[in-house]
Amino acid sequence: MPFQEDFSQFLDIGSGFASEALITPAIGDPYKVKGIISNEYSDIDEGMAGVAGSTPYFECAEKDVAGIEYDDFLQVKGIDYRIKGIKPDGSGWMVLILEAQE
Amino acid sequence: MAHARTTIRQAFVDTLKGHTVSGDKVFDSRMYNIDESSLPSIIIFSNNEEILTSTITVPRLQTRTLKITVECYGKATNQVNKLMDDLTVEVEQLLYNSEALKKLCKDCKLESVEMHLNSNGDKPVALASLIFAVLYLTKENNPTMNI
Repeated sequence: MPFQEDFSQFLDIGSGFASEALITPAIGDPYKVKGIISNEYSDIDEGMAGVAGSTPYFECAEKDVAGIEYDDFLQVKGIDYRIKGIKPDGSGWMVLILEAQE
Repeated sequence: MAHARTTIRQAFVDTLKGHTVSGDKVFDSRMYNIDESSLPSIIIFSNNEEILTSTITVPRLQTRTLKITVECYGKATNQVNKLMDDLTVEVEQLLYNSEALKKLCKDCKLESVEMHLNSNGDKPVALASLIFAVLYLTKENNPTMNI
């Protein structure tokens, strides 16, 4: 039987870790999902100087985003993102790689 | 006095500064990275120079071919490659028509353009590297003066 973690403590908005995001799929109705948004600094190594950037991603329970597709939109904390990576880790946890929208 | 190479590189900066979508964000040999508020931007580097001596008697005449790299950086969600193409149009036209460069060198020609797209960050980043070959002459006892 595969190991399944209980993520409810991680996804408790009241304890301050998680936020509520709105996912807008290409087909179907928008839906809300709880997860953790991260946006750490990163160097984008291009040219002789390089560019300062960040790597936004959203972590949540895989079952909450079962129908997620590339290019679906995710809004969290007032910022719009496009989903450009879908990375389930096999334990029921999902990492969505995001691209900020202008 | 500054080396002729410095004068030429500065002429590239002056020609481009304030005349493209990069505005005043044109830098001479900037080595530290660029934040989003400074994009699009341009950095001018001079990385390589070949020197041939054209006379026997000292001080010899030097024919120098300086490679100037114009790096154009952009970051955008939509059509970042189009943003770079538009910026390189401006760069190529401004440098071709630069009277300052015509006075400083015998020839200045675009040799190659390389485009890189990178989607690792929060928004796609594009880099266009334009390499110019700049031909100029000096005497070996005075590299500050273009002949």
